[in-house]
Amino acid sequence: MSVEQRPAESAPPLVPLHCLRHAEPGPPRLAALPTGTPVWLVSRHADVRQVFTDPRLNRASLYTPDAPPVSVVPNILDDPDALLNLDGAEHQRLRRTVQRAFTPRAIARWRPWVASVVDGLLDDLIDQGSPADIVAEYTRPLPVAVISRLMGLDGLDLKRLGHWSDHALSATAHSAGAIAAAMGEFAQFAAELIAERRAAPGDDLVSGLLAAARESGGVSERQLVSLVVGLVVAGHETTMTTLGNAVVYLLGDGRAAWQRLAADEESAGAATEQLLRAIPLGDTEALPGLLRRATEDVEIGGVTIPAGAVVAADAATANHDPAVFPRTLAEDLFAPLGSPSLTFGAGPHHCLGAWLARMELELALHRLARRLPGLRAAGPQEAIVWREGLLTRSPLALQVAW
Amino acid sequence: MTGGGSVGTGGTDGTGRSVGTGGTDGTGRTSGSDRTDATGGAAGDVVVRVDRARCVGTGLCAATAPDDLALGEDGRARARHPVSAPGEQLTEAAEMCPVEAITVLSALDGRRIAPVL
Ligand code: HEM
Ligand code: SF4
Repeated sequence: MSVEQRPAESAPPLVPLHCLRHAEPGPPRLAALPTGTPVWLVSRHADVRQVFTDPRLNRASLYTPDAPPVSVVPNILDDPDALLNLDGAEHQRLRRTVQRAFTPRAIARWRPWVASVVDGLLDDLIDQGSPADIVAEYTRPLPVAVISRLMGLDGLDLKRLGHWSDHALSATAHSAGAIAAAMGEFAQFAAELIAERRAAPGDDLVSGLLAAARESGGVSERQLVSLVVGLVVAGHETTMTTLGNAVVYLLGDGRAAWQRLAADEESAGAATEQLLRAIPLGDTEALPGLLRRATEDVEIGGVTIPAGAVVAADAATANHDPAVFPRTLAEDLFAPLGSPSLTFGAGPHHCLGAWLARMELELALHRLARRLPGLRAAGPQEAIVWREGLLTRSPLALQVAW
Repeated sequence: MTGGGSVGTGGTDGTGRSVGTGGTDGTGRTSGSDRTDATGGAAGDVVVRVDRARCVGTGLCAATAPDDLALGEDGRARARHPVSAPGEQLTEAAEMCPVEAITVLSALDGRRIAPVL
């Protein structure tokens, strides 16, 4: 793996993501990004939601020529042609080319098929025998298989995909040159895929979005390439991260919930919402929150944020806001959320894949607990080796036994 | 491994029904909205409901059917009128909503018109 490993004595071992402590939410306050750019940190639930939904805060203005630097080493999130970095009518035009395939109804149709992929991976895991690395055998291959099928990426070289994904969300792991080279290859792959599907359309997502873009007009070729790249990365990286970190919790501090997780899909669904809320995707050092920039003066939580300022919506802290979510994971993993969590954001950029991710997580956790009621971690939590230097953090490998 | 169904954004929805943006308005009716009933409303009038707890404020609906849906200052959508005339834009807004927070119901009998499940 090309992902950075920390020198043994540099720091105390990293704690699992569910053990991270979150600041007390409060009014917006000034801090700095790793680039030195001043940033307003927003942390209360209502304030974070406002940052996502208020049209006076957007993504595109983060990348105008006058914008201050927000990344030390730019990665895929800094691509100005990405869906995430378009706003207004241009954003809606591109989003519409894929939105219909991701509504709750459209995703529900995939449920039996996703369940069969889960079962197939579990069969293989059990055949192979205890102990096993559950990341290599389960938490990584599932989301990769799902997005590959949706996009029709049969025969995709998984080594190449892994290489690209490691670079796509790199914070400190790779140099700017290495990231640019990997993203160049990735874009080339996407461009070839697009050409292929134009020539011979199928029933896959790429063919569908190309047809929709042709019908609507006004979508650039670069936007299409970036969308395909973004779907491949977003489609598996975050789901893999959440699943891996959820398993770390459930086989460790949260082991008491295992039996109930196996009981029925509704319980697993409720637990999935709580796990998504309470376990963040990564550490705050690399990225204190999801970024926006104010296009005019805007008041958030009683504080006036001046036009041009960069704002970070700290959804991880907001998801622990005691005013909205008074209970911890350990108190009740199966309690309904009450208020929506901010894990998938909100507003125009609300995660396209939220329902797909939820379904994969729910099926994966429920069936894992059902098939392997005695599953346990094979090593101590402190010995977990993490994927590091990326915007997300999850176990690189996780030995389990049964 | 095979399975799933179509993931195209147009075409069929896997059950053979058309979910494309063109063609019918999803209600199967092509006329009738200009007939008026005794109360003065059009016979095909619809009621637009937004589940505001579910709405994540994408603004997609307000952009799609601006006559009937608006995004409030609180970042949640709302219906602009107690009753609306049915139409392709409204159906599209309900079908497109990323969290299925919108339902379009017949004003006459409360039957669901969109989204088609
Ligand atoms: C647990 C899994 C996931 C999490 C926690 C997650 C989280 C997020 C968040 C927070 C955003 C908004 C970012 C912002 O506003 O700055 C987002 C956007 C996005 N996500 Fe996800 N995501 C997940 C899975 C997926 C999957 C499976 C897909 C794809 C199929 C996907 C595709 C996207 C896309 C395309 C966007 C950009 C949307 C836009 O700008 O309109 N995500 N995601
Ligand atoms: S499309 Fe749905 S989620 Fe978006 S603003 Fe309208 S009702 Fe809310």
